Amino acid sequence: MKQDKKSQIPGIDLTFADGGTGRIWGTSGLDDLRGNSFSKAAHYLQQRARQDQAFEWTVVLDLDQVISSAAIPLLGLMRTLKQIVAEKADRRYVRVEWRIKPGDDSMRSLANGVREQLGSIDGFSIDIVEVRKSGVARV
Amino acid sequence: MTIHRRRIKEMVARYGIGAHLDADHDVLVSAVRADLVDGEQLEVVLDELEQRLRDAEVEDRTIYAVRNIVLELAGNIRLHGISSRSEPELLVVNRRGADVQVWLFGQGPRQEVNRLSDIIRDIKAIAIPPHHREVLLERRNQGLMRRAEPSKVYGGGVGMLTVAALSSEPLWFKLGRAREVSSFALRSTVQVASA
Repeated sequence: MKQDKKSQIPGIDLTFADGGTGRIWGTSGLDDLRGNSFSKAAHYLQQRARQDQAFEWTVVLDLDQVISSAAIPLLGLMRTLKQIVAEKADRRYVRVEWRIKPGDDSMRSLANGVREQLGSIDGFSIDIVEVRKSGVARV
Repeated sequence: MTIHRRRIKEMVARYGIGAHLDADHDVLVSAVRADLVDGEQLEVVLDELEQRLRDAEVEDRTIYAVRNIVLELAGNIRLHGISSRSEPELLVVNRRGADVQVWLFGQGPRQEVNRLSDIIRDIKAIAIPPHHREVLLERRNQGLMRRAEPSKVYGGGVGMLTVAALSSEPLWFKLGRAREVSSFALRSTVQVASA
């Protein structure tokens, strides 16, 4: 799935072709008002997990903006990832790297809220990292 | 990019807000319904707005806040607004001293506009600036978590909680005509810190 440069739908690449790392980036806004892109990604990942059985995935979440009405499906996507790991915790590992920009209070709060809501289990974690001009730092 | 000066002046006169908005001097961007319900068009507006704020050396936190407020208001129009040839919605962002102000002149079914008014009133009862941001964002998050299963209830209160949280002053709301279709003016103010 590719993102049109100017549309308000996130780009999603969860093929894990790059050493087990997938990416979600861009804006989930007017063209993704119901967060359908996140719901589709969750469905795809469930199928992929059934196919692959054992894996180590890193999902880099690098979103510029998420409209509130799309945030619930985004939470659903994170919950799906956790469930996928819980089904076979000895053979599956998923790390979500949620990138936020310093000063983006809304995204920071959303990321913290999702992490607190889901908690962590063996094999699943959400790491919130701040993207600065000098590099990234874990929050 | 077009600034809709004539329409802005009409709104200034209608709502008596000349002390806060000057169509000829302090408007950064303005947008009408066609810009606010289409993702590509809104991206053009947001990019233009960000550029103007960066040109004025406004720091990142303010820019992110203003972008998010505009996005939430546009989503509100897309979800709840109604198209009218005679009075299309208008969004205006202006710089007034140390503040960036985001104005939405909108309209909708009376029931929807009354609901918006109620939501804004309720938000003020939860927390008001300056000690409001964390509280309102947390309340927004709680609202999202409660609705974590897909339903017909989207945005609405949580979107306006986001707008209020990112604002530096309580949201200002004024009802215009109240017939079957009600019109309103809403203002979000974000205090600027220099980069």
